[in-house]
Amino acid sequence: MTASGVEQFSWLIFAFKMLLIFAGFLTVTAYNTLYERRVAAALQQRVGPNRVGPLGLLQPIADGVKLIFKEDLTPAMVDRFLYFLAPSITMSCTLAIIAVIPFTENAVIADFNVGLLYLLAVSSLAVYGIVLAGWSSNSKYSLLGGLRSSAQMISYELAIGLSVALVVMLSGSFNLSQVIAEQQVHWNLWKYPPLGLIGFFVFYIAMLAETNRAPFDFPEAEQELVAGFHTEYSAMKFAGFYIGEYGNMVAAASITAVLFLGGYQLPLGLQAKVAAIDAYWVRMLIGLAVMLTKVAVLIFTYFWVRWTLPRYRYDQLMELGWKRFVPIGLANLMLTAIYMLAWQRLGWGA
Amino acid sequence: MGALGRFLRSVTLWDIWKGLALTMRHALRKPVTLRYPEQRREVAERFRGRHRLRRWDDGSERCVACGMCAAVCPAAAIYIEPGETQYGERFAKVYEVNAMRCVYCGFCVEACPYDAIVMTGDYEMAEYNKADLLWDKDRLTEPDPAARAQES
Repeated sequence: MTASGVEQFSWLIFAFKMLLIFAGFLTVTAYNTLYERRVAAALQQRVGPNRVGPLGLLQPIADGVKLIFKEDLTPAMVDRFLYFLAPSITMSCTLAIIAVIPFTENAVIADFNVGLLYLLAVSSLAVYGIVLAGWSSNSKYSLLGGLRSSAQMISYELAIGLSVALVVMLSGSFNLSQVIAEQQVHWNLWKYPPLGLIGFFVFYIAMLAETNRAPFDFPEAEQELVAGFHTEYSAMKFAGFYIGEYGNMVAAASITAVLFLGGYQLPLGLQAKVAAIDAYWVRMLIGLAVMLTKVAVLIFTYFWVRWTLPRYRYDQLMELGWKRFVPIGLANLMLTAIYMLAWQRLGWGA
Repeated sequence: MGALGRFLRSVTLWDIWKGLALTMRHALRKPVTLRYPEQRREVAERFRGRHRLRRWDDGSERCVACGMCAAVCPAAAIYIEPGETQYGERFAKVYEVNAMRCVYCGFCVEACPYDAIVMTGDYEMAEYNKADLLWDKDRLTEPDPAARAQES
């Protein structure tokens, strides 16, 4: 086949890639729920779901079937258009985020130059799903959940932006593949210690807030707002939020892994050995396994934090975001800039 | 603790690390859950479960239908109709325990002058039918050892 012949079918390859990544992502998301339940159980010295299939591995399927067959209630006074739109916004934003994440070599749907900006843009859009759900439900709990969510998102977007700026400075590119390639020897986490580490922590905690995970789960806040923005939702529309939420967690963990933990690359100079392997598929599978391990560990820490810490008070959340993270992020950015400049001027290697 | 100590504690997230370590210690312990249908908890010796009417060693019923149990029962769950055998001995013609009323206080056991009614460790009493929760004498009386010997 000639080169132009391959070109002809590039859309097919693209479609196949898309299908594979989306299907894989949704599977991981589904199993993320089981993962959380098992981890939560372990942290409370319980067993967790272990009845459906070996080790409870078919539980997500049973949950899915249950949600499909549930009665789909629409409360009487809702704004129907927005009420139906909200869960799909939440879900599609989550799926849109993963389009630019390289899960392993070449396993990225859209590898374009401003991937990081795209990430920031789409992850902020996701809040519309929650706000619209809260608004359209015509319920005071939902509305409060939606409002809290928007305020929280605005406050923590800044911290995320500052940490992302740090990454851009360290790797000199907005392209996520490029960001990963720059971390082949040293992960961004270990660059200019402890500046990279501080950037990682700010980003990690801001991501907890961004994905509405405890201790920042204000939009949901069972004890105060019943279930917050999705109080009035049931059946598959509720499942849409659920997929969005757990998918967001996977996406957030993937982004953290890409930005600070070297993406699909092995640490400690082992990556050079992997890169030396000729077989493309072997390289790819090792990369995927490494990436998934990193994501799994990060998600485990999300669960761990959730089942350890109580929810922040709302004003504490705001204080943490505006009075701690923004100054820390800015100072970190500045120090890194000075550090890097000095490094270059004095010609200390790298 | 001075201002510096407080500052260091808050900056290094010291208290949060402590909390995380605590939950991790619990995660590493064995779950306390009992996997019920497969594993069962051993009940205490004096556990008050399903009632049982005992027999004497020769196989005859202990209950003489004196009605003490029915009289003491706070939930009025026991119903007895006395009868007489051909030898003039009293026995319970009807002995019913209504499991839907019983509060498992064990007063009947204490009241019984012949230790005829006792409570066992059996606590699995669910039924699909309300009628099955009205335990009659056949269900309450322990099997006749003589009859059991004949069967086997």
